[in-house]
Amino acid sequence: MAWYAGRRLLQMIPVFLGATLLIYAMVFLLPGDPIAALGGERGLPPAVAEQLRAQYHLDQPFLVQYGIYLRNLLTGDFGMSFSRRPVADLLAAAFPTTVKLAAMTLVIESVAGIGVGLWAGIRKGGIFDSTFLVISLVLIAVPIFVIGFAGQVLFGVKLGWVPATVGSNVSFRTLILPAIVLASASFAYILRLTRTTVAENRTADHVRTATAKGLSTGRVMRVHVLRNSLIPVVTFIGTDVGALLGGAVVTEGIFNIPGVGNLLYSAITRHEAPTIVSVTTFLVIVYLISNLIVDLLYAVLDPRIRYA
Amino acid sequence: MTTDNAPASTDPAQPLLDVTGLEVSFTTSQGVVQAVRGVDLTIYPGQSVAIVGESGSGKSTLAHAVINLLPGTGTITGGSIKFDGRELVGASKKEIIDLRGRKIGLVPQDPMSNLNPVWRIGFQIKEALKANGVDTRRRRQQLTDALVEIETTPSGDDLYLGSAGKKELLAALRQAGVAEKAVEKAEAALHVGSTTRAQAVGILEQAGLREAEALAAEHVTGASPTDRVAGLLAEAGLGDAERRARQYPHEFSGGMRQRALIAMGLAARPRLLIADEPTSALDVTVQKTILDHLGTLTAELGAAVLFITHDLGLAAERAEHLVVMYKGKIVESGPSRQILRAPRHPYTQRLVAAAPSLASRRIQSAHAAGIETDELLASHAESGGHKHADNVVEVKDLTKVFRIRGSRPGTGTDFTAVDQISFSVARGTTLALVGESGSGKSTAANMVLGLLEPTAGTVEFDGVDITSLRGKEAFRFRRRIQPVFQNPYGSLDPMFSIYRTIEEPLRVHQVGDAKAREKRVRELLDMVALPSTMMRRFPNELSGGQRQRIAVARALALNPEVIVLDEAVSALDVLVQAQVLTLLNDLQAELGLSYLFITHDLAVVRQIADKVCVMQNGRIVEQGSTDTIFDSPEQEYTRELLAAIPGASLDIGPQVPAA
Repeated sequence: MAWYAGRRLLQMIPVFLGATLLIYAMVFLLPGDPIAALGGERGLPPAVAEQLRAQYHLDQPFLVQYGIYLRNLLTGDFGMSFSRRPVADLLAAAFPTTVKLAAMTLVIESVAGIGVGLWAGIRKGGIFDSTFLVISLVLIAVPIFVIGFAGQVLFGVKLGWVPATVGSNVSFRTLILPAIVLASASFAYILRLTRTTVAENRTADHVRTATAKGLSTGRVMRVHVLRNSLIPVVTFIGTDVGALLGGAVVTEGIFNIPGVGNLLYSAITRHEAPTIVSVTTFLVIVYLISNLIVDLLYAVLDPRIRYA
Repeated sequence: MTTDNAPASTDPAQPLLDVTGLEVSFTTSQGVVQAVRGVDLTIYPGQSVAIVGESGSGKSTLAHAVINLLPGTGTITGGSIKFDGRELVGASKKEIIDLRGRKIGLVPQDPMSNLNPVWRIGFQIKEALKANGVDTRRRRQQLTDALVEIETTPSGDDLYLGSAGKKELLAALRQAGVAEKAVEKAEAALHVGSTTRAQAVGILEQAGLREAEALAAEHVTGASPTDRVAGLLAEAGLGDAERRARQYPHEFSGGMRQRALIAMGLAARPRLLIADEPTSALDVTVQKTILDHLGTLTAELGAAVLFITHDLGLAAERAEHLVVMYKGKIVESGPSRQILRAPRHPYTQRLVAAAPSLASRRIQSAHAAGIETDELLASHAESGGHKHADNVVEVKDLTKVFRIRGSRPGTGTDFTAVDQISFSVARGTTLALVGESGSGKSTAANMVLGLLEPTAGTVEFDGVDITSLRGKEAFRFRRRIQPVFQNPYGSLDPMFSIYRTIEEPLRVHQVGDAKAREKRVRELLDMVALPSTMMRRFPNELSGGQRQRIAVARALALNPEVIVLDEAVSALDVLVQAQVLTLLNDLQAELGLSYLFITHDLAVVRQIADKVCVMQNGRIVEQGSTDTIFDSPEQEYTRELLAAIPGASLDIGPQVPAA
């Protein structure tokens, strides 16, 4: 296990280098001059522009810029945004909001998805099962911004149950609607996955043996059917964790949530190379670590898995 | 055999299980299928009964109906099931749950799939104890007051030795100056969670201790559930039970898992144990020890046993009473010996004639009586026509080493699956490669087929080393040697029609045009005795025996010289097995084929092979003609294998029942 974790951590180095290089190159190749854009209509005096270019190392060749960036990163310096705030500070402000939203989303999609999926799997072919199969199909098929806007208009504007946007007021009450919207698609996937594995496990030989031992139906369902069915479901939820922590650009945009997704989006529209690269790099690390945790969790869930 | 610990309510004259006129049906897309049709069955306390029948005869359905575990759409449509006088048909869910485990235990068929892979063995057994209210701690409390009376009961009380008690006892032995050897012996004899106080007294006295009774009374004070689990596993014959209980199913071999399942089925001391093909998935030697153990254990506990099996020899050997089922009905029942000696129903007669274990025994006893046995064999190929001793396959010092990954880099180990084996197959004869699972016989077969690269050694086919063949030559070689595999359900592509399945090798090797190929397919189907109308059908519409015939037809398509039969009949019912074996014999006589027959079933070997190689741990430990191996085995291992053929203790005359 320790060897496996160590090897996986080592594997993260090339992934990290590759990802940052790729992102850096893409931002570098973006058309337009960010410094010129800073000056707006009137333009900056050439001396100032030159000074800014030197400050952000924009006058150096690409690889040198990348090298300088990496060196700074290793010393914990995520760079400065054009508005002269350290990117690390921007992240520190935005990330907790994203984490809150991600946590709420995860709880909603897991509890609802596994609960409904378990019931549908036990009563496979019944009315409950068929109804939720149709609902889940709709949730998967409809793009998230449609669900987002529809929810916002219905619950936020028409009914007024929850605030329509979040803004600077980040709380459980304001985040609940975005979390439900964000959870909708994954809820549908988790439901379907749970339903299928539960239905499959229910007829497994070892479940029949457990019943023959004289266990109550409830215990057979919990300990032998649900427990075994959770293995693929948890894997799916795990990959979702990484995606959610990476910020939901669309949902955060609709509800104006000051999270990582919004930060990234505004940085892209402003051509802010250091911010884009730093935020993305941070997200790559978050994603890699959450993936590693999921893989290790997998071994806990399924004792047959041996890491070597 | 102590039966005095059976519950007091037991009246030997009163049936424990009384099934009358039972009907079970399944609803399928094609309508209602009757699986059990008016079955009567009676089991008395402590009795052992075996239901024999082929797959689809309804024997498992009958057993599952008794504990209300019918799969899917199965429902009881008529009749009654009485257990200990109580009606079970229409009983409430709670009543049934109360009955399961506590009164009726189940040992299921396939040990590989019947344990939950995500829970430790001990957890799964403890669960059975808890669900059935066998809380060893609580009972200990209740028993504290009544100690004096219980002390002298031989067994049956739940006052078992705990792990702490064992340590204290051993310490006491050492303190009393008992020799270290005797202490070690006592340590091995004292089973945590299984040894009762009275037994402990005996063991201590044997170790040379005088005040054994007082010591036992002080230290044998009951076991915790964890200790009891270890005790149950030890009773089921699992060594090092305390450690084993903490392991997961995937760390167990098939035989060990079956022992765990037996421990589970007997955990709450049921009065009836249903053993559904308890050993059909296991090697013969393992099968024998497990059945022996199951027999003594149930006899000691006074439990009645209902065996479900397809092996008549096994059934007759393990049960006093036989019930033969055919197409959902009981066609014959009676004392085991009587049915074997004088089967009355035509189906039973065919079954008795075909059972390989019995056929093998018959030959054995005929030999002893000095009778010529040729007519007893399915129809042994006349090897007279091919007397010239040229070997079509010649294997020399064949070795295969697999690399097994370790838990960390650089700790991988080598595993020698096949270790320097040499044998040869004479043209037109059958060589059987016999061994238990893991003996390397299938690995050897794959190397002979050229599907696996040998680590060392050579496989010569008609004088040419096949490992040196490349490209076109290797392709041409494949035409001359063809395989038939064990599982007829897995070895046919479900998306291919029968025609396409048999025609594929012809097309791949560009034999003839479409018309000629179709003619050949018809010819092949005819050869394996299947109607040519079968061509348009798909594997899922065929029975296991029919599928295996298709597999044989496909193997024959290219007119090979050698066919490698890797457990080709092991998955088939006895009657079907006999048919396929006869077919193989006929084809050999007709086409002069050579067979390399891989099997774990010595009984079948007797019927088909000319020469036998016995493999163990990757090596050939003994080889010789079939008669020599069976009549005068030299190796202990071979003798064990032979002794493990079910029916060894049965006394059947050399007469041949009309087949």
